[in-house]
Amino acid sequence: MSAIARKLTPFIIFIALIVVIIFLGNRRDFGPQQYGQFILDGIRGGTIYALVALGLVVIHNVTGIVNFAQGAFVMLGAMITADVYSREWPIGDTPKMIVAILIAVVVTTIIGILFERLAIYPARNASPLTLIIITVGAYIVLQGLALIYWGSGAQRLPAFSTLFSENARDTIYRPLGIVIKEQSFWIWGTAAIAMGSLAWFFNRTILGKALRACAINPKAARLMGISPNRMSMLSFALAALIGAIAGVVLAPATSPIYDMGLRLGLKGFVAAIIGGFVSAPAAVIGGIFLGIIENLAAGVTNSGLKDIFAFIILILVLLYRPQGILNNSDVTEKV
Amino acid sequence: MKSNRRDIVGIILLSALVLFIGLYETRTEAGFSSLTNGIITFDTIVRVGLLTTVVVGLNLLMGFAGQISLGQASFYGLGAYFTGILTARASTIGLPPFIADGWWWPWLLMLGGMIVTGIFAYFVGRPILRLKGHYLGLATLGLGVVIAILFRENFGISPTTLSLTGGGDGIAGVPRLRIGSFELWPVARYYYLVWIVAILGIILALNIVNSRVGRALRALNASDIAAETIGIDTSHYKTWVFVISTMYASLAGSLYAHFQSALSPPTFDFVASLELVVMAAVGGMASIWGAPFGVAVIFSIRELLRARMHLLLDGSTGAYEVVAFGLILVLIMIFTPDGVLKGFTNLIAKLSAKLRPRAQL
Amino acid sequence: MSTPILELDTLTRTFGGLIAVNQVSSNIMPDQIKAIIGPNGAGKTTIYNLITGIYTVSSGDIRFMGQSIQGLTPHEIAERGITRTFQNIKLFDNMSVLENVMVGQHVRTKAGFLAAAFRTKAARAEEQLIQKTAIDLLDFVGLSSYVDSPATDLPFGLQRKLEIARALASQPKLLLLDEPAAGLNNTESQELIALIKQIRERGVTVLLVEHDMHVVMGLADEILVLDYGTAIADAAPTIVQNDKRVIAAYLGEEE
Repeated sequence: MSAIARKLTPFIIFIALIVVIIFLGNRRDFGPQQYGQFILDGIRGGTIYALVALGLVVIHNVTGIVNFAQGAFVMLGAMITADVYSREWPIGDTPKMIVAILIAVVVTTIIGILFERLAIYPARNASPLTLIIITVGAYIVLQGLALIYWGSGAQRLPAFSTLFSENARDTIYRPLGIVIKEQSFWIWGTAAIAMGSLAWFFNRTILGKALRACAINPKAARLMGISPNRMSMLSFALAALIGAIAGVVLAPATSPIYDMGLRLGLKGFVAAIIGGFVSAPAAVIGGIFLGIIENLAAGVTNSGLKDIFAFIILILVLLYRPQGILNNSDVTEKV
Repeated sequence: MKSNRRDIVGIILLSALVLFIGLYETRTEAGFSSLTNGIITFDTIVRVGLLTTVVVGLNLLMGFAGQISLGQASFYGLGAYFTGILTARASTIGLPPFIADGWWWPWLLMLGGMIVTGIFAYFVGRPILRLKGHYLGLATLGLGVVIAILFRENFGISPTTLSLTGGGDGIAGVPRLRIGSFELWPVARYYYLVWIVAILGIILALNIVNSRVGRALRALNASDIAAETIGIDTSHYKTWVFVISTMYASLAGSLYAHFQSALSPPTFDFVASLELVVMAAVGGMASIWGAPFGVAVIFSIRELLRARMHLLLDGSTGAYEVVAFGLILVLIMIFTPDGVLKGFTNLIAKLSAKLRPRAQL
Repeated sequence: MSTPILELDTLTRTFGGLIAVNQVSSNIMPDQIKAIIGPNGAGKTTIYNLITGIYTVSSGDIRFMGQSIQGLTPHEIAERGITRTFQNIKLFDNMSVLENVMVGQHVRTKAGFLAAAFRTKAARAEEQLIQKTAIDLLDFVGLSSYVDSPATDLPFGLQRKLEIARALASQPKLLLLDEPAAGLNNTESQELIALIKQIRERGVTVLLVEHDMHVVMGLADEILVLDYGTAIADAAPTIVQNDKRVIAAYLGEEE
């Protein structure tokens, strides 16, 4: 394919997608309101994907590992919050929620650190494939433990806003006839804060810069006194933290269940690739883009097919715009 | 060459083992499973044979071309559904009975399935494999999920219009294989077909590995750049190894369809693909023999856990086995990252070195 | 014959803002031994990467036996008859010494997947030939006693020889050696010089990136001197030795 054709193709495909979506939508008499709804719900789902993708990018950039267990951190964040909140304690609802969130985040982060120390560090010199399989094994263990501890039923967590208002219902806003539940704002707000904090951390703090240095050149970093060992542990802790936070804000919106991590992990993975595995802001954009397209496409066709679209997008990206995947670690050889 | 002799011995031993198990099953009262106290059944051995074929192909791809496929189960599924739809759903799609009922038809489909799958893999693989790095793994991940969902959703077609894959319920009624009027059933007979295919698959793979092509594959695995500058067209070889691995999977899938007689989507999903990768890695990808080894080990662990877990932990559900499985997997990869087979042979080498008298200085 | 075997024509390669190779023009005549020297970072290995197709050319051209090879993939270039060794040796560490040289013949042999899988007569005959050729080559470079050893078992100096043997296995017309004398002691360097002369006698043109001036002076018919990506001299050794700019580049400005 000539260079020009290659550059144009993604745009052509994108426009073609929009056309197809509108065509299919019109067959069901969808108006701007429906599309708006799909897009909005898509942004909400996409934000979660973006958070998952961030966690993946952090670990990958520092250690070069693709963490297939990332979805498990989200699941743990959600499940632990719901579990703690559901217990009978002699404190008010709002403090209980705060405690639940704190416990969930802390415990999940500790699990992330343990995972790194016990399963990743001992195998740090193994091939990428081996490490991938180890993270897969870890995911299996974590999901299995969740199943044992919490069973296969779904948990429940009230929307955060209900703690602050009189009625026990998640407030619904209806701008222009599009339904937005208030929990969505919690999700967006938290995500924005998380991303902003990460950006500040990586760009403005010494520790964050040390982490980035490790990713770019571990040997040089070591010479500078930065310990890749400790950086590895830190990156996993950070990723677990981000994952847990995502799980926490997601929990009220979707009933947490022991196997929710798999699908989230996979889609976050696709988001990270779409955005480019190296760049955090791009991963975020990738996540939101994925959420929107996925929701639109599922809305105009058949909701059973929803999961397909993420992966169709993945394949198209790989075929036509791999430079969205600026993966330095793939250039494994110096000549 | 040394490796040739070892390979020939391996083939003979494997064939002998297969023969032994087959005969034991038919000639004794209790059958094969009595040998392992009912933990490993004859049925399991057939499944080991089916997956050995798949994993041999996967091993060529992962161990020799250094690429991962995270969607291999979907190619297994393509073979299975190709066979399944064109036999059990023959009337739905309007195939005349003289074709659909012919004894030769399913055999033709097995071959056809391989070719169709291979062509599909070629067009997906070629562009992806021009890129450096593990992009094939990602693409197959996506492809695998897409195909699995298509199976589950009847390709997006409404079932009332045309029921091809049977959606979530799958397909039932895939006929048994026959040669003329001789039916390759019951299991004891089919078993031989499955293992003949597996052993032939191993032989062909070994021949490839021990050849100019095999050296090219190992070269590009060791150093992509050096291989290219020597004159090896790396993307050509990566593409064709990928195609061949999918053809192995497709053939095994068709055999599976005739074995199970029914197909359902979960058998071919992402988790199944992961299991295949695990089997290849656990067995050890640097040698084709790792494939049957890895499949056998994983099946053994699973069956053992299933049988014994309830003794360790009362009232346990399947969840405990899953956790134990995951833990064992992680441990194996940490301690024998080159696979259990390599770990095993290393251990034997170390022991025999200790037993040998010290060399004169 | 006055057609150069290799022509570099205002060859340029930039990486972002950095000009790694700056309009370098030079010719190599058949059966010549030409050396490229220059301080570290002068662009020598980059030129190798450009010639062998690992990097793409930013501007200018490279012609091999009169035909432009710009834009060809590395394996296509190998097929045309150019192979190389690497500064930090890239042997195939998952193979034996013999197998490394056998795979070096890849581009001159042809048994494919089917022939291999079914072990056809032609494939088996070719395999015999490959093995024999490889043994002969190992003999030529002096590695006969290591035939079945794992490639990684060889001491450093011998690994270098193996890499050369592997590069020769594809019957190149032009051989690019990247710092072959690095890390060799005096005896080994002398052996290397003798080996390269023998390679030239076999009709292979040799391009040599090298820091060891003894080796360079002992071998080169012509020397190309690079500094910060630019060619500052391109002539016979005796002339280059006394070139003011060359001296300045290596030693800093004259006092």
